[in-house]
Amino acid sequence: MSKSKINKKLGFRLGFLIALFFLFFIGPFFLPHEPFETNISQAFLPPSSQHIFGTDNLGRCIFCRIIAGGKISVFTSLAVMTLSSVIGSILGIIAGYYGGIWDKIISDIITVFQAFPSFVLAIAIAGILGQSIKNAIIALCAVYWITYAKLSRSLVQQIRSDNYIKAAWLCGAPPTSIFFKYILPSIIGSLFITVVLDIGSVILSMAGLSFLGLGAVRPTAEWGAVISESRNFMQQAPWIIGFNGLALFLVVIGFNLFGEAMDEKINCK
Amino acid sequence: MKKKLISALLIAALSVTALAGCGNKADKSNEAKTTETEETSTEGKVLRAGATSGWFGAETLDVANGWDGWIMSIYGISENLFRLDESYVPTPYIAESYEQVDDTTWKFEIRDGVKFSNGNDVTADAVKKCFERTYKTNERADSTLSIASMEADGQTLTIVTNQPDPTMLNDLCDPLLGIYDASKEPDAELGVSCTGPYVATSFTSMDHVSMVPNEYYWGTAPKLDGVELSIIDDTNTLTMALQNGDIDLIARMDASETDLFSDKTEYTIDSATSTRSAFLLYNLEHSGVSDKNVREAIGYCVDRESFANVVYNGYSEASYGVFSTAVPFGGTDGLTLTVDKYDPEKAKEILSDAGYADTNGDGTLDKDGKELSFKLMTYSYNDETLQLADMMEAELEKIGIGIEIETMDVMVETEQAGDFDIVIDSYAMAPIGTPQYFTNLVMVSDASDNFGKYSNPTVDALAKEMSTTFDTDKQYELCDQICQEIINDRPFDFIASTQLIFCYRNNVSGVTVNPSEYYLIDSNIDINE
Repeated sequence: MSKSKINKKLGFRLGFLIALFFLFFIGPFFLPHEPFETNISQAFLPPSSQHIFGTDNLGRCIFCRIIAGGKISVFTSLAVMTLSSVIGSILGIIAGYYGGIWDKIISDIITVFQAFPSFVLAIAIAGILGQSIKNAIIALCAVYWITYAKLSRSLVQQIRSDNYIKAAWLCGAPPTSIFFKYILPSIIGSLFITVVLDIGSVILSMAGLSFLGLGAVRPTAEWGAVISESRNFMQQAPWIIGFNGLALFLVVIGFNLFGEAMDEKINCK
Repeated sequence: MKKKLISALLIAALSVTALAGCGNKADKSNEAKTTETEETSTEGKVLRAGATSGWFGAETLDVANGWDGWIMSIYGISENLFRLDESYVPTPYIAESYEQVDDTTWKFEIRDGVKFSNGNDVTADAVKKCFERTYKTNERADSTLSIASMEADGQTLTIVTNQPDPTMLNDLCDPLLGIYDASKEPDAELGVSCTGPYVATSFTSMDHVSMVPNEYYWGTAPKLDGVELSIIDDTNTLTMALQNGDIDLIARMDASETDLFSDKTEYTIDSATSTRSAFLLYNLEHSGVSDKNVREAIGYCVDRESFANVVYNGYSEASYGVFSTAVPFGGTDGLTLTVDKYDPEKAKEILSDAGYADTNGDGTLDKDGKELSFKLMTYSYNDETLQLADMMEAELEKIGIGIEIETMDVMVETEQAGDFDIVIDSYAMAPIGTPQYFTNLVMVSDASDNFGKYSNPTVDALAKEMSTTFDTDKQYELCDQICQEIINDRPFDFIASTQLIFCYRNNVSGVTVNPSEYYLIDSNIDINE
């Protein structure tokens, strides 16, 4: 594929994500209805011009709740990705750069964490910590940091014996300088692509934890929690689950497609 | 292009796999159904019923353990000396007749020919031993019926109470006083041997019970060859199980689900106004909710009419008093109400007059440095109370009261530990048809379920007097005075009195909805081919 086509694709997908960000972070200031205000006389209204996605069991506007919930889903996923990628990368770089005992300790910790199915581990941690968004973020960070630790460790191991690193070291450059000037620029691209590709998966995991009652607490409009709460009205009011599921699908696919385009862009170089 | 083609092929492959998965599932369920049907055909007529753990959830099959006696009565395993009819009138059952010798002495003639499911005879001595074990095991027993002594002579059981007990016969209908063979140690799985029409053949706590007819049953022979009761806490799954034909009956169906079963050619919905109420229970030892003004303000923010009519789909009645109008001592006649409508503006006014203000600008009212922010707990499987929690959170936020909702499958331990500010609970308030039941269970200072630590000497004195008054009119007058105290103090806030709903396929017959909530499976239930 030509560079211009890749740029066009990337631009379009980035535009879609930026639009979503505007919708979720600026949109709440312009909502037609208050997302948490109950109006029980308006319960279970199907989609109409007044409520384009209909209303839920307590008469709350589903469209407004989806917008309000989008902020939580995207923000929490970004928080998980930021924390886990920073923590994981630091540990991976330490293991990869220094090797020896550091590598052994960190690699053993990674091996222990890898022994558990990741989502089961997240459920267990969130279950022990209790139901809250904060605890769900901690649980997911405990699962996702491994990816970045492994990736950064192997990337650093590859470049550590390169001549330009050795030369810098022989010239007496301090480790922080080597790290920021030479190592980080070499691995940041791969880490960034992995982060972007993982965001969709984290959004789904966060929704999964909330669906199981381990994430957002009532009456937060987090999509997974809303889908869980409205399961019992699936037959009477399918639009509640339908539109929340659609929002989840669009955001996840948006991040995945953007990640794929970024990957193409970087590999094209 | 190539990539798109591969993507399309992948999507197609995924769809086919997913559909095949569904197909397999369907095949499997059909297979399971076939096996079940085969089993059913070899075993004859088997009723399969489902309910949430709130209705079917026994921990053991031991009448004396916790609330298991109640569940075992619903199962049709245990029975009592007396049984309540649909008007809450106690009628002789295992006891054939009775005689009140004086205010504290009662003689009961145990029915001849009644046997436990293990074949042992039910004698007065067996009933005495059974009560003795129950009283030793369950702390609720004393508040249910205060027995001073018992004497057994053949089939005659004499019970002497500690004080005059005008509700003796009703008390004996409480499933906690169910009759079982206490001469044998309970089986680890199948518990104690009782006298009901069915006996358990397999039991898994909080999951299922399988039953067959009791070969020694003293009454009309059970019409079914087997009963399978399953606990399904996900109400959506429960509903679909009835729609799919996996079960034949849902006991205590959620009101919101009734619309799905409006086809009268296929389903029957039976309901009866019970004495069950959804109510707020305040922890009076916690600051904020210990202030009566706060409780009153919260009371004004609950839209009871909408809750009863929309959330409960009309299977409920808004409550501003204490007891349901289903019982003669219920309703609000003669009471002076402190909250008589939904009025958030009034709530704001009360809080403002009481000195609450948002001094730190965080959106929540405070006073003396303490924020009006509370933990509200309710059952995770009760859709109606969950929706009430959401309604309250939204309404209270508007007047500056913060609410953090916490849901739980089992709340009693948290309630006992006092680890709550407000609980939305649901109790059958007069299952034996008397006001003494709930008063002594929840309202008096030393009540076993007085989790909010409410203490009012006037209520205690009135409750004591009511418990020993034989004149029904006087009892109800005392009940009114207690209700007035409760309305004034607002340690509990009764939101709506609900109906008991059973929904079943039309081939099921003989189902009776008894408003006491004590009974479901009996020997009359049948499945017609």
